[in-house]
Amino acid sequence: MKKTFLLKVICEAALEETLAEEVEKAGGGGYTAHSVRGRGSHGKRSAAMEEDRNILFQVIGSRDLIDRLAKSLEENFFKNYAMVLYIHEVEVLRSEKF
Amino acid sequence: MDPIVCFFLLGLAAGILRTNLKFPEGFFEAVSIYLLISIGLKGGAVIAQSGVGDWVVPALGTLFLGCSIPLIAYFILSKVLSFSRADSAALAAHYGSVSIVTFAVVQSYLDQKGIPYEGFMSLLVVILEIPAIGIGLLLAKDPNSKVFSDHLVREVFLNKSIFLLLGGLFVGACLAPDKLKVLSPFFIDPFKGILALFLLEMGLVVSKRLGDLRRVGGRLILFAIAMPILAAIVGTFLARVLDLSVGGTVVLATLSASASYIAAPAAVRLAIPEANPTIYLTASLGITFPFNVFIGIPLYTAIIERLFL
Repeated sequence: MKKTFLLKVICEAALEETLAEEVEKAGGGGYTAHSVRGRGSHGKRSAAMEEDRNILFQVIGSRDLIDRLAKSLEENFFKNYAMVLYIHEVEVLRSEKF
Repeated sequence: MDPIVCFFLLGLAAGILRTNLKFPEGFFEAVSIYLLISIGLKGGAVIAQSGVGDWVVPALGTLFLGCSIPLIAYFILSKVLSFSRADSAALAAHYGSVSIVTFAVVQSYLDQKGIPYEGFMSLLVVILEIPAIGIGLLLAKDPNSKVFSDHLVREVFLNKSIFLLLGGLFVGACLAPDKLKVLSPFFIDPFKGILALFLLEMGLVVSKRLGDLRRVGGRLILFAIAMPILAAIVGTFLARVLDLSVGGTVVLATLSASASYIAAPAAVRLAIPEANPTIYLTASLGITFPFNVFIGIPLYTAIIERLFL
């Protein structure tokens, strides 16, 4: 089975469209996002209003794709946005899709 | 006190007392869609019955107002209160655009007091809403940087508030009065009850911002109270020049005084990333909104009645 990686990004909901564009630019095949709640250095994010909502944004791809994406997110968003980013190695069925 | 304002207090109390009251996710958005359509429909029906001559001059005057308020706010913020350029521009966008709920609350207040106002006011809401965010973003923009992306242009000029209000106005204006009756059991009659529910949620949301008040500093609190008063004065003068009724003058003053917390934050967060969201959300949602609801609206009404009635 080919080595496949999963990038998870927890960030402000406002960034969803922008992140989707980043994935496309990096040549990724797609992404999955959902709403999440939580607490962090920016206080409690209760998801009552759009401004108060966080998302978990996930992308599966090769190490190269995931690294390029992570680097570009770090450069463009870490300074001004609340963002947590981590990478797993995962086993994916039908891994030829990624 | 207006019964609707009681629900806002109730929401504040629920938040401050840390009850487990919580609205389902998406409630805020769903109900704001309802409010925008309802307000648009009512305005459209009135516009259909009045001539173009009745509202075209007030509309142009309001466009001028919509361009001046963000510029005045930016000047005060950057030159007098020495906020950073990004924060000044972000706040200018918020204070230039309007709060639809504040608009609904002032209408309800005037209805209670039996003071009539022009039916085309909801058209003025859209016009006041259109230029502000764009001006705020232009003020923040580095002159050398690239122009706005398509996504951002859509966010500014075709955001859901503008689209739904315009859409509601259009449908309301096109439908014959008897056709509109079909929609009224849902869109018109229960409006106040649904607005009350929305204010309950607003109370909860605002209560969560109160903790930030201690962090933002006196400069911002001063601005968030002084700016609505100043904008209300500008709005009042313009309304008199445009020869609006006393009720219409109160509505335009309140619209000028109100600050956005739905359309503006979404656009500003993307377009002015350096601006601190705690600053603009605390100002518009934590201070100016409750100020207008509890003090501003009765104050503007009392002064305008005394001066012009």
